[in-house]
Amino acid sequence: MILYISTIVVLILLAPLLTNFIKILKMYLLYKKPISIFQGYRDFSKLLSKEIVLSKESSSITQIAPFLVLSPLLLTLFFLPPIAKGEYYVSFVDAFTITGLISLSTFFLMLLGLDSASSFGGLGSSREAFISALVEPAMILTVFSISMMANSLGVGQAGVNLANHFPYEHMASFIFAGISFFILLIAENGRIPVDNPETHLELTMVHEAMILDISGFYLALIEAASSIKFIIFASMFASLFMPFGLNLPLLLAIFVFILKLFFVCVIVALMEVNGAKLRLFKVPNLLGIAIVFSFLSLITFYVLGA
Amino acid sequence: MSGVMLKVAIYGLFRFMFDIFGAWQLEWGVLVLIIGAISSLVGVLYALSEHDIKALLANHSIENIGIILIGFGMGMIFSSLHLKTLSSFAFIAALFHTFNHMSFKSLLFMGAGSVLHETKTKNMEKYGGLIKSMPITAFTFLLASISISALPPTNGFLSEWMIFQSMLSSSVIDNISLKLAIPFSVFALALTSGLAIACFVKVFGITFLGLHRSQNAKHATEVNFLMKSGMVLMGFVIVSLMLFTPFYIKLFDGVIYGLSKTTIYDKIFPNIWSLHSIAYNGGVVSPLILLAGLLVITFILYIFYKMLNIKKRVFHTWACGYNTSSVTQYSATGFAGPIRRFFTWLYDPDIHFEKEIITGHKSKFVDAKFSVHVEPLFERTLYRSGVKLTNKISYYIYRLAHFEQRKYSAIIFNMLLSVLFSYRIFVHEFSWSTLALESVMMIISVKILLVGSKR
Repeated sequence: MILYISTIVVLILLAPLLTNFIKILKMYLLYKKPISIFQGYRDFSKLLSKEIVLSKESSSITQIAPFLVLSPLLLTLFFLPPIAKGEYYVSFVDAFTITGLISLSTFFLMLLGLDSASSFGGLGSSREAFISALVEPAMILTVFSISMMANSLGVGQAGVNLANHFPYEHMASFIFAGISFFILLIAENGRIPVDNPETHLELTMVHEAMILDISGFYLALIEAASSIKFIIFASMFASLFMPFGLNLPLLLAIFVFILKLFFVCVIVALMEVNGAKLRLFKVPNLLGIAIVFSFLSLITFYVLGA
Repeated sequence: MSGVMLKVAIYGLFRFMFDIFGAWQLEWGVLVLIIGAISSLVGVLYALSEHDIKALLANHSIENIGIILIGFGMGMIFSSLHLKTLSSFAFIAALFHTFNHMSFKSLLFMGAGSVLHETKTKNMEKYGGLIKSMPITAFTFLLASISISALPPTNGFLSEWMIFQSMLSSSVIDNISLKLAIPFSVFALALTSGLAIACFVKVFGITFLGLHRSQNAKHATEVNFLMKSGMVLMGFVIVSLMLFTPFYIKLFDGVIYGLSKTTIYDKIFPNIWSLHSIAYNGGVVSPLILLAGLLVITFILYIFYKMLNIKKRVFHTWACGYNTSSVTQYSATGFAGPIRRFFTWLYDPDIHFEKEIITGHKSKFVDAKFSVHVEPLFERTLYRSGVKLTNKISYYIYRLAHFEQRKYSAIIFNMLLSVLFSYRIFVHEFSWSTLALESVMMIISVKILLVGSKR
């Protein structure tokens, strides 16, 4: 139980580091001088000490929503697969609940965008609604097929089952599901082919547009939420689609897990550097690929058993 | 009305299937499943494009009845494959969703009614900022919106979770084509729930948040005590369906036991804390733990916030140096814009864009007007095609009545010819070759004498 709680604390502490790490890697690849590795923590602590500027046009939703954006994601952290053997884990919570909790957080984020009566907020939430509506079916189908391979619908249990018995016989559908899940990881976290997290240009932004009027502590909550969302997806990818290292000794297992998280970051950073952002109306094509791969994964599993 | 009257059809379906049929073939279940999937998708898509708040909620009823039918269809499929417990699970899910839809849709209609009462308009583009003047309406509406979007830990999520679980347990089916078909309805249901979230962000955000978009919305005040208490009571119904799920499931289980003689309550609720899926290696959800977890975490964050003791300042919304006004906000039509554009092939919207251009410059205009109108598919096909057909028939009758005399004689000649030719058929001297010859002659004479050459 102590291990369980400390894993969650480690994940929360690691969250700003990972998103910062992507930024550093990108700057390094673009021959810029990289920022410090602790910049994420510095930003966070600075935001905590700043005063909050509330918009005159906004309502009580602005004061409620930031808490409700963060808390479902924090709750999700409790349901993730274990990272070391012998660790307590919540075996029963299935991926619908996790998808639902993430959608709950997105729901309040979209309301936050509409609350400040600015045109940017509405623009961001409209686009986010469009993207997240198309992400949902791919997510559920991918989860369906991975749960078939893992013999359990519970995410925690699926992680353990996959680590104990890697599905060599279902390699094809496993890889298809992996590709689909990686596209979802990019789309849900607003990384480059879908959304550029670094610009403030109204043509390109989705996530940044919604939180343009949030400041101080509330902005800290939202930023924490977005980095925790990334770590949820990265650790789900690490334990479901790279299921090894669970049965190693304790410290080594944790080390391997963190290494896997950084590996996901490296891939995301490489994709960001090498690709351009898609037009908003081209994004459905990317998500369509995710949907097709998840269907393919299910069909190969059923028909070929491979 | 939406709470009860729409359910009469579902009730009728249940009674008819169980009392009169008793047993049915597999195809009927598949048919119900397909109808459910299509109606849920179509319902939510038309709800998204709607900006009349009541019509929007009515379109959402189409969606929810579709979801109920998906659960019902899964139950019928499992039942005809003799998977008794799974079919009971799916039927219970459908019944539970029926109840949940009753609860949140009634609350939504009450909220829409009080907004309508205060603003005297049904057009969503004229609302805005109502949360400041009508907080109780707004927060009960928010509760119902979260519930209808199937977000945890509300009751809408629980019943949709059950329907999803019953679909995922389709892996035990032997029939490979059926097994491959069910993921498509999983896809439809998942897309529906994603679009429902978008739709209710739109409804809540445009109606209650931002600045008021018209004078009607500016002068709105909170509704009277009776209307408020109705909404609050309905909110309690939603919360009770969420917290006391085992009790309700027990009731539904009793109903299903009377019909199919299997009880699965003990399998769904081994203890009263968590809701188990009946399927092989199925999942578990616990509304109480989810709710408690959310509340505790939010409370901890809030205490942390209070401990930091942060100053607050109120200032204008930043809009790149321009003033924020009610017309620069996003409208309901604009919010649904990307989705409408992606589904253009279904909507086929009527777009009017007019602007008064200043002296030849396309980018300079004094006044611009943009309007989009989406007409539902069934209205377009079912009602319109009838109108079109009648129009066409009356047109030909009109033409016939205004022929020249030459054409009347031609008609008489042709009639005579056809009577002579068809006479052979009646006296059984029929052969294909003569029929072909005669019909060719008929066609030629009709063509030359009646239709004539095209001008």
